[in-house]
Amino acid sequence: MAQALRDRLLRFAAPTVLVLVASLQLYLAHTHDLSPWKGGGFSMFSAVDRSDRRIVRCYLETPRGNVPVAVPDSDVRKRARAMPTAARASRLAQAMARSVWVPCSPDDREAGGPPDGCGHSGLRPLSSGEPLPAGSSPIAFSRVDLEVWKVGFRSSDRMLRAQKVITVTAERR
Amino acid sequence: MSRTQPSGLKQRAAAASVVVKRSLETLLSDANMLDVIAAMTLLLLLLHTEPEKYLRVPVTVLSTAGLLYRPLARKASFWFVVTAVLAAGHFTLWHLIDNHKYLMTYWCLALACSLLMEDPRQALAFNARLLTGLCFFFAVLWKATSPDFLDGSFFHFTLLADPRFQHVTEVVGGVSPAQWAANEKAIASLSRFDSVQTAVQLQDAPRVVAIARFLTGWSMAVEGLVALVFLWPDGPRASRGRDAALLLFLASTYPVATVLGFAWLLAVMGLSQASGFRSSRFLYAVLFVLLPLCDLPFHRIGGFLFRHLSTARGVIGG
Repeated sequence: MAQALRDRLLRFAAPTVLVLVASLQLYLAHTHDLSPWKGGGFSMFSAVDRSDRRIVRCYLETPRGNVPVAVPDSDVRKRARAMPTAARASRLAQAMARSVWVPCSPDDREAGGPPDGCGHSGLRPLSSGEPLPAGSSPIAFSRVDLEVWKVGFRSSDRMLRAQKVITVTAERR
Repeated sequence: MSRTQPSGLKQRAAAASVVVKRSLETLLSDANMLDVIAAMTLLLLLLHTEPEKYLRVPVTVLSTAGLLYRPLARKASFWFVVTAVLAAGHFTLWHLIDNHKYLMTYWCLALACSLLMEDPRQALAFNARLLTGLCFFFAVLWKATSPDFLDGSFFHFTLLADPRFQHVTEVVGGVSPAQWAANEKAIASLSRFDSVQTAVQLQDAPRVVAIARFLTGWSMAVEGLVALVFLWPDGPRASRGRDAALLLFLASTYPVATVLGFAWLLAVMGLSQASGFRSSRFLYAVLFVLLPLCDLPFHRIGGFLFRHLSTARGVIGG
């Protein structure tokens, strides 16, 4: 009896783990916006929404108004794109709020800087341990607003649409 | 030239092919199957593990040890250690890894568990069938319930935006390089961190929709067939059907969607359960060897030849 049970457990161990993980992925994808391309659900090549196509938009609230800034690539950013829960998005927003933001130099613009470059805002965060560039002063801001968007495509009108998944705010301390 | 030379060459070629055939039959026989599967799996792990050092280093050490010292790869404890390393590493990389890394982990667990059973080869074949069937079951379930997929939107977008399909879209679909570049620009403009856009329209050509619909139907049909035959109760006809379906899937998918790690893993799992007809084992083994060639840009070579032949025909036609 014990031997039969042992054999059955050994025989079905791997398939059972597969079913459990895939079922969990199905649940998380439908309730927590887990990217269909991640999580072990075998749902790749079934949806346009992929974590590397998800958009992160970040705004610093400055005295001159809301300024969009590029969020540097990091593990926190990748996790927030893969499954943008309130906790993950907040962690990313807080990291941006803790950063010191400075104007981009001409070299930064040439080198590309964070994803998509410094962009129109012309701002970038200082790296950990990086000193303040000469002649530069940190940008004053009171708050960070962070948004994560996913994309969808409709064949009938060939429109690629972005849909906001979550917005979080982090205060500058 | 002597008349005896051609027949001498023929005889030598025939003799060589008999030797090769016998060697392959011995290699892919039931007696050696576990060793072959273990070696293929270790090669797969060696070449397709994530680059993070805390995963790559132990997997490389373990895989190399198993390949060089075969008795190690016959121990269940060895495969439990490999599974534990993969599981721990993949757990920390859940947000980055593709689905086949999960399947790789389950496969190593299946190897470990099977080696503890009275008939490891039979147990492994059972696991290969069930893992393959379940993997395709979930793939089909997602496709059937995804709003993007059934109406052709997923493949329509993929044909207009995925660089792997660019040459198919340009050469067969009729989308011009300028349209392709415009689509790249449109997608980039939507994705920029400072964009205020929430929608962009992509450029298209009439044949692209038809190709998308064909690919949608084909994917559902082939993957559904694989899921069905692999989850069907075992039997001689079911066995032949399984091999035909999986080999068809491998041959039709991976030359285009080149996820080599997944293809290799499916070939190894297919080989583990192949008993339908002798040639199926040979075909899985051949695919395992030839699949890396899919990384060659055949679509670019094909597109290049197609364009130049079309131009030549136009010139000759006047």
